[in-house]
This record gives sequence, C-alpha cells and structure tokens, in this order.
Amino acid sequence: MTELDPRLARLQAQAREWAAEMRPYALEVDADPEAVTRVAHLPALARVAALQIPPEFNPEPLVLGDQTYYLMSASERVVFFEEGACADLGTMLGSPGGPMSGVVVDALGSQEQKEWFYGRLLARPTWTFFALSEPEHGSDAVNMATRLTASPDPDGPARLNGVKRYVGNAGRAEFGVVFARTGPGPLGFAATLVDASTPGFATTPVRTIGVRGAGLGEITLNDVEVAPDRVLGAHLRPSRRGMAAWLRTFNLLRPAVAVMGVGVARAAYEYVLAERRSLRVTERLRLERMERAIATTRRMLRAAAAAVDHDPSAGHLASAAKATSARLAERVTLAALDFFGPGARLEHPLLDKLVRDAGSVEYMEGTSNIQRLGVFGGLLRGAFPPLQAALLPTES
Amino acid sequence: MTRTGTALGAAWPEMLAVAHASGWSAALTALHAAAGPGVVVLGPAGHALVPDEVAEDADRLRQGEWEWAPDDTVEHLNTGVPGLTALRARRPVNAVQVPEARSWTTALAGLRLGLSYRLLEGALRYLDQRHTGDVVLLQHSVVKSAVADVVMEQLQVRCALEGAGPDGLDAPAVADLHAQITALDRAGVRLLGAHGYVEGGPGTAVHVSELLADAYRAGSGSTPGGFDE
Ligand SMILES: Cc1cc2nc3c(=O)[nH]c(=O)nc-3n(C[C@H](O)[C@H](O)[C@H](O)COP(=O)(O)OP(=O)(O)OC[C@H]3O[C@@H](n4cnc5c(N)ncnc54)[C@H](O)[C@@H]3O)c2cc1C
Repeated sequence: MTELDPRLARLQAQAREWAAEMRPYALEVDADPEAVTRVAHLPALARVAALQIPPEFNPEPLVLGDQTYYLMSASERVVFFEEGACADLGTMLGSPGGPMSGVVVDALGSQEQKEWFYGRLLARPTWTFFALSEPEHGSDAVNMATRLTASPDPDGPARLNGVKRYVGNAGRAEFGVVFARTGPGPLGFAATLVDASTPGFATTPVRTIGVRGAGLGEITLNDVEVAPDRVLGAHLRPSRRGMAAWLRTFNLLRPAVAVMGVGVARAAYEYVLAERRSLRVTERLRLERMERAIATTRRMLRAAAAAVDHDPSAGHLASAAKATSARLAERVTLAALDFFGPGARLEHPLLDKLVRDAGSVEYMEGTSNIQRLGVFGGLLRGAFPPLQAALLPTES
Repeated sequence: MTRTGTALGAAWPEMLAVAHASGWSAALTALHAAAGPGVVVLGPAGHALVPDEVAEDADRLRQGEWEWAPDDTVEHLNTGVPGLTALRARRPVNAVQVPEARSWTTALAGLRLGLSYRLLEGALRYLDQRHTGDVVLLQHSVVKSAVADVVMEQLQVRCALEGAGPDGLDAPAVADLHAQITALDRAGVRLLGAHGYVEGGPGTAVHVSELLADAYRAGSGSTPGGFDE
C-alpha cells in the first residue's frame, strides 16, 4: 500500500472501518438497488452524506483525534472513496449526499444557493443528482439538447426542457443539478438547481449490468420551472459560469471517479487472497503482478488528486489516472476469475459482481477516449515534464 | 443417434451463423440440440448455462463422456439474466458412457464469435447515429481505428477456427481463443458507451458470452487480464 502521511492514514483507517459495514449488503443491493435506502443509516452512507460540505457551511466535520476532515479536497476523497469502492461500489454510488452536485455548487453557487443546498443535505440524509448526459449526447455534452429558456418577465421563472440519461440516484434524489443550454456559443450554458418535486420533472429507472445500487435513471424535463435564484453562478461573469468553469469542476471530481477502479480491482485481488490459501508459483507471480499494477495506479491517482488540489485546471493527470484505472479494474477482475475453477462466476457471486461493476468505471466522468484527449492536451501544454516528479510534495 | 464430438467440432460455423442472426438464446438452444435432443451439456465443474426452455425440456445431462438423467439433485443457480438458467449437477454413479461432445468448446467459440459480430454491427449502427461536434462518431478516426482493432481480432479468431479440423481445436488453443474473444468483446462494447452497460441491451449478450466461457472453461488459457508473463 502506498505510504500515506499520518493525517490521511487516520482518515483511511476510519473509512476502512465504515466501509467494512457496507460490504455484507453488497449482493443484496446488487439484486435490489432500492436496498440502498435500507442501509442508508450506516455511517459509510449517513455520515458521509453530511461531509463534502465546505467548512463555512459544515458545523459537523469529521474529527479524528486532533484532525478535522471535510472531504473537500481530492486528496482526502481518493483515500476515503477507495475504501468505499473496495467494499461495494454500487452502494457507494447509491449513497445520499452531494458527491458530484456539491462540487458544482461549491464552485459556482452564490452564498444563498450554498446555504440552500448544503442546508438540505445537513438536515437529513438526502440524495442528489448530477444531470449532464443525454440520450443523444454523452461524450458530446457540449452539444446537449436540454434548453433553459428565459421567461419574458425578468423576475419570472425560466423553463427547462429536455431529457437526461444515465443519471445516478435519479429516482431517489430530492434535488440536484441539471445542465442546460441557454443559447449558442461557449457562454450559452447554465447549471441549475432543480427540485425533483417540480411539476414536469419525471424519472424512469435505467437498469444496468453492474453497480446497480447507483440507481441510474432517465430524467424528463417538461417545462420545469427554474426560479432566477436557482441558476448557479448568476452572480458570476458568464465566462466564470459557462462550459469552461464546468470543465474545471469536473477536474476536481475526476480523481474520485478514478479511485473507484482501484477500489474494485483491490476488492478482486483481496478476494483471491482470502479465498485461495495455497497458490502455485505461477499464480503467486500473477497475483503479485496484479498487486503491483494496483499500487502503481493508486500512486498515479494520488498524484492526480494532489495536482488538482494545487491547481483545479490541472486535470491531465486525473485523466491519465481515470483511463488507467478503468482498464485496471477490468483486467484485475477478469484475471481474478482465473484463480478459481470453471464456473467461477456462478460459484463466486461476489467476484461475478466485481467483474460486472468494473465495467462501469469506463463510462463515468468520460470514457477513456475522452480522457486520452485530456492527456494529449496536457502533454502539449508541457504538463508531463520528464524531469519532474508526478506526485507533488505534500505541503505540511 | 446423437452427434458425436467430431460432428460438433465442425459445427462452429453453424453456431456462428445462428448467434449472429438471432442472438445468444437461439444459439445456445442450437448448440445443445447439436449435442442431441434433450441433452444439456455441463462444463468441467458441472455447470450448464441454457435458455429457460432448454432447461425445462432437458432429459439428459452430459459431462465429457458421461450421460445421465437429471434428478432433483440438480441445482438452479441465479444468473441475473432473464431467460438464462444456470444448472449445477454432479455426475451420479449410474451415469452411462457415451461418445464425448469433445469439441464443444470449439463450437462454443464459434457461437461467441457470432455474438461478437452481432455486437460490432450494433456498435456500428449506434456510432453512425451519434456525433462529436459536427462529425458522425463512426467517421471519427479514433473510433475507426478502435473498430478496425476489433475487426482484426475477430479475423484472428476466425482464422484460428477455420484452421481447426473436424475434431476442433485442442484445449489450450481453444482456451486462448476464448480469452481473446472476451478481450475483443470488451473493446467492442466500449464503443457503445453507457448504452452497452444497460441491462437487456447489447452488453447483456457480452455478459452471457463471458459467462459461457467461464462455465465451459477447459483448462487455463492466457488470462484475459494479461497478468501472465
Ligand atoms: C455507472 C454510470 C454512472 C453514470 N452517472 C452519470 C451521472 O450521474 N450523471 C450524468 O450526467 N451521466 C452519468 N453517466 C453517463 C456517462 O457520463 C456517459 O456514459 C459518458 O459520458 C459517455 O457517454 P455515452 O455513454 O453517451 O457514450 P458516447 O459518447 O456515445 O460514446 C460512444 C463511444 O464513442 C467514443 N467517443 C465519443 N466521442 C469521442 C471522441 N470525440 N473521440 C474519440 N472517441 C469518442 C467513446 O469513447 C465511446 O467508445 C453515468 C454512466 C454510467 C455507466
């Protein structure tokens, strides 16, 4: 395991303890995604739902010994969420709180919007959504079809029309962020806070092959009213709230998505260790290679997290880590099957689930092809200098 | 008279054709029917994956060169895939010896390759409907290159199968082919974006194909994960 500074090591130990309580429900959640709501009281879900809230809005951060944690930095998140993903990625994705939408609100929201959003999260475990992808536009989100149309009355509500798809927690969320176009050009975008109870808002579930606990769904927006004060970043200059601002925000999210692949891979690796006591020499060597690949990818994404914490526009390492970890999760879970006889997927349901879950990492927060573009862009900007360490020295 | 191993080894093109035209359920029905009417073929550890109706109609279980009538010790395992039944059975002492379905895994490789062709055709249709900016995704050079990689891998599998005699391929060779099909299908399904991850869609056929490779695994081939030397 990669060396951690004592502060993060303490966070990791707490995360590991909480995550262990989640694992026994993994197959139940896989069979019935709504089982997530029955485990929402576990600290891994309930307590975490009230974290990832900036200090000014969070009176109850996580305190471990003499250390305080808000889970607002990518470096804390990758340590914390590796444990959750290793215990059960489906349940982790199905957790209440604002892991994705909250980051957007933090970056673009006004004081009043943040109070509204985080206040609701703190009141009780509440699910939120982050609705960007559409049936016709996934990687190509820039050309999204969802429209936010202004009211002729300057104080009147704007209206949202469109369809969002593959949105996590769509059916169980009370509110969240919907991304839309307001007009042509690079500034013609808006991120809006939308309450699921608004007339014209409807969801249908989208069942998936793995990570079923994530509860993906399609959201239909039919003349959904959005009050002027629910448009995120209305107080900012258009250039600070448009697509470029979103992309910076996604950089902050990416390391936490990348770590999911490492968590799933580690779960499969640990499953082999636990279930196969004596190994042949070739098997032992293979298992060691798997472990090394996991450790290297973990280093990569810790470097990526430190980079975006230092400079939110430095998402290129996170892109590299995300694409690497998506492939790692697939490779390690498939390789793990080979340690068990024929029919391993039928005899070892947890391993079968890990193989299915691993496939999800490729798509979340952009496919590997899209991440490759980020890596290439970073290279051209000189962001991968041969003589500089990947991992920034930690500031202490 | 049931077909023997020799006949099954030569059956891969037929399995490929059915899988390509009609999908996994029809192809699995055809594959078991090729082993003999009412026969369900079990993998080396006693597992079978069959469409529900085939499981219901089974009157003989066959594993290697042994055959017996199913009884109430046969267990049904959950596959999570509607329409697909998994069975687990142990060979009883009163099993009888029959000509072995020796080349079953070769025929199965043909079936999986047929599913793979079907997957790629679906991906081409999908990509032809989608855009990145003003460019149709299918015409994007990165996507073209990814498609071509899948095609080249499929061609390799096909050439290996065409080189097989009527007895099919030997166990290590066919195990490698199955690992190769798993890897190339992973590349194929990625082309579909999240659409390939939706239950009941093209990704489910890939999932079934992988379950088949797992249940009927004959010896250890190269690991799809690529952690071998
Ligand atoms: C488990 C899971 C959870 C998700 N959660 C959310 C969520 O909460 N909110 C949300 O908004 N979305 C969510 N998504 C959707 C996800 O963001 C999209 O699936 C992803 O952006 C890819 O889009 P797509 O599926 O439409 O694929 P497409 O864009 O259709 O891609 C198809 C293929 O073309 C390739 N491709 C596309 N464009 C290019 C290009 N320019 N260059 C090279 N290759 C290209 C892709 O790599 C892929 O192989 C989730 C998806 C999954 C599977």
